[in-house]
Amino acid sequence: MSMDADEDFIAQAMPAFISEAAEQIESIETLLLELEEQPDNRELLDSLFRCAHTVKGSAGIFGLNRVVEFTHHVETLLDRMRDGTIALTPDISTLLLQCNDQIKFLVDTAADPSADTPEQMDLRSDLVTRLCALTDDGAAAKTATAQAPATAGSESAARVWSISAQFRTDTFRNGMDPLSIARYLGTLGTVVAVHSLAEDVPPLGTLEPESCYLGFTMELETAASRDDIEGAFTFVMDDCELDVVAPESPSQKMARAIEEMPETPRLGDLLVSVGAVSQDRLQQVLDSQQHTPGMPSVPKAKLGDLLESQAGVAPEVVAAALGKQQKLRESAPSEDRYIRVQADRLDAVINLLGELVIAGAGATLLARESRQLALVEANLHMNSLIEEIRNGTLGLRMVPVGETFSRFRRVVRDTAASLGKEVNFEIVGGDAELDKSMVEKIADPLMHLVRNSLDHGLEPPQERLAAGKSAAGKLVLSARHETGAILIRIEDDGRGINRERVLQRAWNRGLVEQGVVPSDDEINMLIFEPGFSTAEQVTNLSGRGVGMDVVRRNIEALRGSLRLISTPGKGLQVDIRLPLTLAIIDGFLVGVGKSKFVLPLESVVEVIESGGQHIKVDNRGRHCVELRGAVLPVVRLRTLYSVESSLPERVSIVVVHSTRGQYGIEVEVLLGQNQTVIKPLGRLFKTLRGISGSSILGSGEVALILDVNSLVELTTSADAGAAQPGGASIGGGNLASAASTPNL
Amino acid sequence: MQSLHDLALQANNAPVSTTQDLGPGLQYLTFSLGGEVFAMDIRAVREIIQYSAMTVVPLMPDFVRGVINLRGAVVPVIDLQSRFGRDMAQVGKKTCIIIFDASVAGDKVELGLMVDAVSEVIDIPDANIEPAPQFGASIRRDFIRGMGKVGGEFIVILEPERALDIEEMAQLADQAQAQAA
Repeated sequence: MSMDADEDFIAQAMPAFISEAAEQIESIETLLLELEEQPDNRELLDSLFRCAHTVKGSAGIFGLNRVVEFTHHVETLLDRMRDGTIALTPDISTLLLQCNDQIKFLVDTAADPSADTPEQMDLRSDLVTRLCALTDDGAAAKTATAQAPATAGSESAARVWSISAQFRTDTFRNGMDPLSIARYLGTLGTVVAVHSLAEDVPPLGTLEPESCYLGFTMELETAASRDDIEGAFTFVMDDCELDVVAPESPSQKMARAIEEMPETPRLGDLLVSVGAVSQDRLQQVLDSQQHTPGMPSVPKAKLGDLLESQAGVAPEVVAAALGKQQKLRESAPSEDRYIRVQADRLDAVINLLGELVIAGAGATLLARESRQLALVEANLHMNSLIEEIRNGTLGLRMVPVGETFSRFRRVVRDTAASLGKEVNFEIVGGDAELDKSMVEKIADPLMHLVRNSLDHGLEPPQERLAAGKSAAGKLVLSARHETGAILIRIEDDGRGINRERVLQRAWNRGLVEQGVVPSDDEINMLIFEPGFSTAEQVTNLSGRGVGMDVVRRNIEALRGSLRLISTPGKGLQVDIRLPLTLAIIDGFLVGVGKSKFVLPLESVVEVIESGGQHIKVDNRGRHCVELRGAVLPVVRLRTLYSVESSLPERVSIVVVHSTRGQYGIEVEVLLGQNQTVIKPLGRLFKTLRGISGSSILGSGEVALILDVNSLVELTTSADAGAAQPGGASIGGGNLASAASTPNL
Repeated sequence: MQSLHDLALQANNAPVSTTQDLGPGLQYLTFSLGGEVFAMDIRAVREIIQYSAMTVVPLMPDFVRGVINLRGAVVPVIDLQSRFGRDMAQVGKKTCIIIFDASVAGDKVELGLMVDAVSEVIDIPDANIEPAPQFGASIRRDFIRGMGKVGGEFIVILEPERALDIEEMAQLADQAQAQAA
């Protein structure tokens, strides 16, 4: 392979490396934060080490020396922690988090070394110094940082090599003496252990004094390189089987390395990969296993035993490898397998699927018109398959929100620390799934709300104690599915919203007319108004009045809704409801005049038939019907949207539930349910109220999708509170007082 | 449906209105609107389709006629007559919808333009284009890119960035809703 081909390959694989490394870095952060809570959890520590190691390893493949060097120091510290020589303190944890940020920076700028600013370099060498101070090999590391890009500054330290040599019978006859070689090796460093291999020595009667039957294994601690060690055997190369095994792999380390292997099915491979035995040696042992003479009934000698006896592999290494093999066998079927797919390819499939849903609906329509039963049935079958494909494909885009949530741990930790507050941060229901694109878009608004809770909601410890609360505040981020939507809740036990101050501010800023007092809920929602901020002191986190309105806009852009439940002095709860996906919904098609509208099926409760005369009109022009003894406000689409057509004899009322309670929508024709691909209406219609998008029907017509939440607001703003679900009984003027809200 | 290509061919075959001697210029699509002829830069034009029934979007100002399904994309259609502050266009035999790319903050947005009839594609050399008159034009001055002299007559060349500015139209739509509510 030429250099160019190499570079091409690296350039191609680089994005994959960066995204994979980004995942590892994210895991490191999560693990560190978890480890803070359970410092004794060995598994977490191991995973942490593994992540760091993976980043370092793959960065090495790409020749990203800056990443390798830096991560090496982190890895060293982690290794000490695993040895138990260093315990995790909050300081170390902070240091490691900062290091992780630095690794992230290095990985992000991997493709562009020029992005590495002097400030970053200073920061990095500072981090390295602190890391080294902890790991006590400051001296070695300082030289490493001093000669920055030159790699392997610390490689000069002595390492322990395992050498095993088995000599052929002719060795003596060729004038060689294994003993002299062993002695020479001794001059290269310190011999930690020597073990002679005397298994091949025959009984005395058949022993030939001129033949060599011996071999030896040696653990040599030396700074010499592999070449130097192998050089000692130059003259006996042809007469011996030599194995020089990677340094720093004493049996225990090998055993651990085996434990850490992600997936290695064969015992031999396991051992080779950790360097316990060489590939050649393994092959020989395997061959001898094949040729072991034995009775057919006697099972063949086990490979593990053979390796132990012939190749000098330590029994504990073999045991670890066997254990790992067993574990892998057990866990293999349940293990998750992933395929990395480019997001835009998946999007392309989903777009096509949208077209397929429309085409399918069209075919069904034609089939019905043809009145050919077989055709209709074939189409129905096809449609149910399309639906399954739809569900499956959309499922591919679903990711647990927990990944996003856990990113906040760090934010909460750092923010709380900088504000001098104590916080217990809890995540509940992180496995609830949400469309990937939604997850990405919800992260920023959530971050803002979390910060806001920390900054404005939770009180400093003294204030909390004075209020009779525990010193540490509580912040809970939870997610759960709720009728076709996901509910994300941010809950704190802080001071809640100070309505008086909010109102005062709103008056001052002219958001509310001076002297007008809106309802409590409306006052709460004022914090989402543009240009609103109540923090007396503007902190660098929040309080500039930029953001909360953006939060609301972002959430509404995702067809979501926001709700605040504030208990002054007790805390604030922010509920965010979001649809699970942006692409396709189950729709309920209705007709008013010539126009067709789609209602999201999940918001439809029931449909009631009604002769026009049952709809009562109160003295303020609002429409209501009686439903099982209760008053149900009704939105009349034909009046609201000035649809021109004559009113038919009978109408239907679709009862829907919205954030403001249940209400009815009067329609003229029910056209049944269908799958609806949501097509955004574009910027021209961005201010359009009551309609969330459009959809193309099977016939090619465009139908508008009603937004039940904003539709009810539209009517309440049009006729002042008609949509309040009331429990009052029907009856003339009585109704007006029951349904009206105090509106000053 | 008459494709743009056919129109371009027609324009090439037509002996009139090709004055190539006067230096560089662009190609323009001409169309009639309330008895008047207008032209627009053809580079933004995607295709021309026949008028067909469309979905009315409620609470929108008159100049938003509705939305159509253009091969799976939902495209708003603007009544240019009404946008110029005149009465809404009547649907006739030759009524067409010009689909073109409007640019909004760097993005391209497909938009339909309802016109009485599409005429031809002509070359107008830059030298033959004069600035919009200070007064006396039939439409707002900023809607006009220039006046093209074609065969001794002046044709209004539209400035789609202004005449069909999506942000401005969205604001108008907002006002219309506020009135309705």
